[in-house]
Amino acid sequence: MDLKKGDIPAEVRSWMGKQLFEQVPNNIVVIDRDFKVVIANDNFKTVFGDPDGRYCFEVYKGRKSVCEKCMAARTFEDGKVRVTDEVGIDKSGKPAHYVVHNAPVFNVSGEVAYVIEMSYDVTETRSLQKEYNILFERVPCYVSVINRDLKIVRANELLRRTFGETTGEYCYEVYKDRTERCTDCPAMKTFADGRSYSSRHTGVNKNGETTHYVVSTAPLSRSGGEFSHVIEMSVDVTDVHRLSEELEKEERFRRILIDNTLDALIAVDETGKVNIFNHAAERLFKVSRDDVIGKSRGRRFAPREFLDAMGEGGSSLSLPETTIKDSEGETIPVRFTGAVLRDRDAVIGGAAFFQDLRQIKQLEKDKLDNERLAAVGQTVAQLAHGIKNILTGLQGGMYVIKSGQKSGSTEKTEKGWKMLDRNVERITDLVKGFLSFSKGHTPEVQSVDPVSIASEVFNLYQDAAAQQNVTLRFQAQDDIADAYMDSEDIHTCLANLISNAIDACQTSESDSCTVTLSVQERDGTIIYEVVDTGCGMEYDIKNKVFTTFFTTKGLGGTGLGLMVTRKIVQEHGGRITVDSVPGEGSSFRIEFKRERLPQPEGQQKGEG
Amino acid sequence: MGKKIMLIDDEEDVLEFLKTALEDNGYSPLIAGNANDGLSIIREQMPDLVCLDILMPGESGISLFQKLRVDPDLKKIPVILNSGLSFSRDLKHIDYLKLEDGRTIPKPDGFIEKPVNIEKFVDLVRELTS
Repeated sequence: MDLKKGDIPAEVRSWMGKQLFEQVPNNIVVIDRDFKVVIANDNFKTVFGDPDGRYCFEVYKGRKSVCEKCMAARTFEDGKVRVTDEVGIDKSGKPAHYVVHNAPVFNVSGEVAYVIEMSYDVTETRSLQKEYNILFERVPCYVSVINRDLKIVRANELLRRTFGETTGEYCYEVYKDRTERCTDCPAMKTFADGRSYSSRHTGVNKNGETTHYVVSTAPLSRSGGEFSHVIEMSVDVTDVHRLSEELEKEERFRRILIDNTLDALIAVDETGKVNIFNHAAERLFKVSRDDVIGKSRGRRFAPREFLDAMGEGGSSLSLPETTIKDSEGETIPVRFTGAVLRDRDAVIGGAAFFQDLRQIKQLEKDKLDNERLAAVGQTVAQLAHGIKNILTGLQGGMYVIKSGQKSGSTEKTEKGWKMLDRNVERITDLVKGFLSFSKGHTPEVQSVDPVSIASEVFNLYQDAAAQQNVTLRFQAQDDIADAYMDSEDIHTCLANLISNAIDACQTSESDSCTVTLSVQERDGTIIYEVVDTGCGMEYDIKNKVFTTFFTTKGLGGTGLGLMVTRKIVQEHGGRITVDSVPGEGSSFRIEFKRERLPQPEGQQKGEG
Repeated sequence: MGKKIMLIDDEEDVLEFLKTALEDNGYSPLIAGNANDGLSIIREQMPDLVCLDILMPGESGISLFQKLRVDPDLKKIPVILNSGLSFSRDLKHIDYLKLEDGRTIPKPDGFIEKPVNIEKFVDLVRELTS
């Protein structure tokens, strides 16, 4: 069939007459001049319900009267087609957004008899637009649309707020304060191949501070093909960057600390799995960290006392001296500090520090040995020295005998013999005393009460003191715990000091002298003191009192007393000091640090 | 009557020894068993020489030596220090020539160490009193 141009095929015309009204994807309603619905298509009915016989304002908006700015009313007046945005209410009462076309239908006399309202729902599109706009503006990162010149065409709120009005500026000026584009520009890559890119960048914020960004670019294509703009989204990750850098630094620092500390350090999580086992721990326990890290072997390394304390709900424990066993079964003395980390009642992990005491122990032992050797050396020198007086006496005896013989004086000869006798006796006493002194004697220590030893000596000398008209006093702190000492040795020391003190009182010009024996404990040190108000000693004598084998008691002393005292004190790891003022008295002080006292077994073995 | 030599020592036997030797050599020894008695005798007798032991109970020989050296009447008397101490080893640490008030006194005129070489002692006495 031939159709002239402008003719509509009959089938199409028929379709238009009957089906177009129903099949067009719009809502169509026809109203008369009274705004009453004349006819509506099914689409319309689906949205707004059946409008038959109702007013359009009722149907569209649930109103009782004509709308104030009724577009249909104006079309009835001027016969013009109008397109408007309308917000109405659908049949379920929800607001709906429409684009409405009002078109006049003229009657034969040319008046507008009806108005056809064709509308389509744009509710979804509108809300999408709004959402996207909100997203664009309010997303907490910088979003900009840039063109192929890398100029910002549109910027979101955060970008505007941070960098000010940037539209028209180059993005590299804004973000990085650069004068030319970046070599690794992600936007250029996107422009080149239409793909999205994401990368890290470092720029400068408007305060001139270094700022780190994560930048993503994506093409903005309208129809899927050609595009002239790129959307660029940048997140300021400076804080995150700084935090992670700090974290890294902290971690490095921690690593160095853990690996370089001389103390063995072991940490476990709440299940007892080892997560830290440093080099010192490897050396101490002779265990490779690879064998323990990540394994539930934490308990193996903890001292029994620590596990017990933790079991009873403790949170930390310090043991100045305990022992551990290394993988070869060797017992090693250590100083231990352990802590359990708790979150309220729940255990979340634990850490333990071990200080290897072997070297310190060795040094301590060496020091004691050295002190003892020095004492022996001094003793030998002092022996020779002490003999000098006796030797002089013997020399004298011989000289006097010879002199008596020469001059025929029996009296002199006898005197000389007496001198020889006396000095031979003295040397005998000295040698006996010296033998007992130098015998490889090691203190036989037992746990004893330091106060009762002193009190025994005090009782022993009370009579002797009274006879010499000396007041003997005793002062004792009453809460001193037992200590490992050789009670006989300590007895000897105190007896020597008291006997010396009483002698010093004898030599004193004063006739009411006092000797005070005291015992006390200060910071783990047991202190014996013997203070007299006797004659005191000159500086030169005081200096020689322990280091010289001398006596100022003429024939009455061997000069051994203080040497023996000092030797015993040294064997007990203690020290003895003297303070003296001539004419006022002397004070001898013996100090025993508990930790240096000999142990009842073990420690003495090596010295035989 | 020989020159008066003051001997001070707490050891009786040493006193007897030195006294005999000095008598044999024509001196007139004076003896005292401690510094205090010694000083009284020195003031009384004004000896030609004092021989002094260092370590004695009560006042030491050093202290008496210092007293002699600062006493206007006694400072001219020659003094020999006599001791079982080693002068080179033990005494060098004691600054006994410096008094508490800062004054320095002349050193002793001689030393003898025990055991005593009696010939040397007598020679020294002779030298210091001639």
